[in-house]
Amino acid sequence: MANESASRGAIVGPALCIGVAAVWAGHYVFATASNPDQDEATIALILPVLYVVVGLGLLIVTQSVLSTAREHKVSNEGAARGSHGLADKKRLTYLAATALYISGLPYFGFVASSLVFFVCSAVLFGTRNAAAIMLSALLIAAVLVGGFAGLLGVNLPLWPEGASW
Amino acid sequence: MIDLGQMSAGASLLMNWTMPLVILGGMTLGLVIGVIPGMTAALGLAIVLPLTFQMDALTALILMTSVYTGSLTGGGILAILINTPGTPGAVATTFDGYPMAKAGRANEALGLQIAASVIGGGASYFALLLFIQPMTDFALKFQSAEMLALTVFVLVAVGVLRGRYLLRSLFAGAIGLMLSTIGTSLSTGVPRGTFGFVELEDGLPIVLCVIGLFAIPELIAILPRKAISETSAKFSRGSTELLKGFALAVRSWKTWLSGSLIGIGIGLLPAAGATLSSILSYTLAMRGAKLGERFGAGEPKGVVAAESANNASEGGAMAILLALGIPGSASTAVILGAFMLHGLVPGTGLFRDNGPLIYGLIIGNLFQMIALGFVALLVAFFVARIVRIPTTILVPFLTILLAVGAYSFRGLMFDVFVVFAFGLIGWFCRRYDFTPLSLMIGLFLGRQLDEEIVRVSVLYGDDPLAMLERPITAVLFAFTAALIVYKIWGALKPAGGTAVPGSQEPAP
Repeated sequence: MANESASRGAIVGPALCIGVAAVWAGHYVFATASNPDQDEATIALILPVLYVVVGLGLLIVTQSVLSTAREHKVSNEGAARGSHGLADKKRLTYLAATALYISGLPYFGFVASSLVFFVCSAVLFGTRNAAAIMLSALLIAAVLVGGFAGLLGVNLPLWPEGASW
Repeated sequence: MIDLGQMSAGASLLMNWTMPLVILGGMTLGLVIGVIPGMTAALGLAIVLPLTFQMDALTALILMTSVYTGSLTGGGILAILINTPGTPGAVATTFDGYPMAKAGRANEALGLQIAASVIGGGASYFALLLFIQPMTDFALKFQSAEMLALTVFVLVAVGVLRGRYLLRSLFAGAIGLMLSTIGTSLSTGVPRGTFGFVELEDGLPIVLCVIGLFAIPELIAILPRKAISETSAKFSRGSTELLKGFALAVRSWKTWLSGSLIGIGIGLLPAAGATLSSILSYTLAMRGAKLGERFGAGEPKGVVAAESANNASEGGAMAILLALGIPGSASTAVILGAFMLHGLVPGTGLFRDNGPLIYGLIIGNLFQMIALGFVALLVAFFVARIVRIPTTILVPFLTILLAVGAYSFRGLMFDVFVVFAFGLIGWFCRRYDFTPLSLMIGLFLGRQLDEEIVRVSVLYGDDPLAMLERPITAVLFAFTAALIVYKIWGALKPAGGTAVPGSQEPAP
């Protein structure tokens, strides 16, 4: 059962990546080609590359299907990969926290967003040393305000009022 | 080839007490900027540029090039410690540098990297001093057909020699080429693939894409570990290990010599000289590996090959900037701005009118390389401790630095999203063996290729085989064909044949 699912994963994963990439590439080229202002030079590179993308994509999927059917080796490979996949609590937590963090940056500014992101992530990942978290949070605030904004003169939207797109 | 009178006049311009201070200050700032993920050499140079208004031209240029040199080396430090190339040219440094850091040999790897940088950079400036004219003549031979042949060659070479799956590697390269063309077409002025985002009209911020592509997957990958380096080896002998690595790099003279020569030659190519040269140098070293040398798994020669070529490309980039006024990257574009600011126009007249100043600059750059050895060792000694910090603290901290660095690049929140979007792309590339390195090369070469292919179709549209009448193009296409034949031959041979050491390692 586990072997079957690993075999499926070895085909479905790459096929999905190829599918998404090919759909984007196709949309990109045809949207550009249908632009009334464009001429041949606008798609001189991207049109042949689209053919390459589609051709290679088909070859890769065929190769994956054939090798899976022929060898049955992927079960081990897939099982090994599983330990590195996103199905890990810490990794999923990180992705969710990062998505929230970058979504909040334009509204809450760098200081508040970064401090909340840092403290929550560190605690969720399993840090129990309150002193280390506090010291690191202070360091982050100092780096943002003193280092980037003060010393290097980067015009960061530090506070919620200053947030802008 | 060399004008001794002008050279001694140039050297005398350097004889004042401010020069060592300018070199040390610029170098330290560059190193600090280089080791912050997301902060680029171009940004560091842009920060420094206004400080040079009151300086004389030579002092200003020495300061700018010191920051540039420091940030390139700092990028290599970051590549070794967290598997994230701080500069695109440091990609190949991650292949063996990071495995060394994970195995508790971070200081040794840093020593190797710094020594190789000093040697490569020094060699390239020495070559620049002697051969600036022939070097620029060679660069001028690379026209549209040569650039097309070079791009195809590099993508195939990476697929064959690094990736486990050639087809997936080529697929990633093709997607990289397409992504790089997003934005306003340089040939026709028509916007492409922007989805209405004005931020994309100038194209994707390639440097940030590369950082996202490598940094975010690495942060995701190290999360389940306690620290980057989980070995019980003590760090108390950090300085000894640094010096040991330094000495080992100096002894690997064949590796750094070939790396430096490749870097000097390929560094002349605009846009991707450092990246291409370090990858080519690495693959060449890997092909010549002896028994017991495990490239891709922490082989010291891999670090030396990559870094010597990376820094040696600096001299080539400077040659093109000085002789032709062509900036090969955003960083050299800012340096070009500094030239203009001080009334100097790079090009054929620059040497004729300002010979002593240019010789002074090149000699000053040679001195920088000596200073780099000391300053970089000091910075690396402290920064190397990063591999022992718990990942539960380090990962969120670096994520914040990445976000700040991305925002700082152009002052756009959009760029922060770009970095993280490319992080996810990078993760899927790693997971399913679509070599991220090929994607990155495609990203770097695509925009230039987009322009070149229009010229190629005009020049050779009726008879594409006429391209092969150009010797460099013919040689590059012949190498590409040889690589493909080698790959097919290897696939047809029964298992247990002659595998290239390290070539079966997972794609970085």
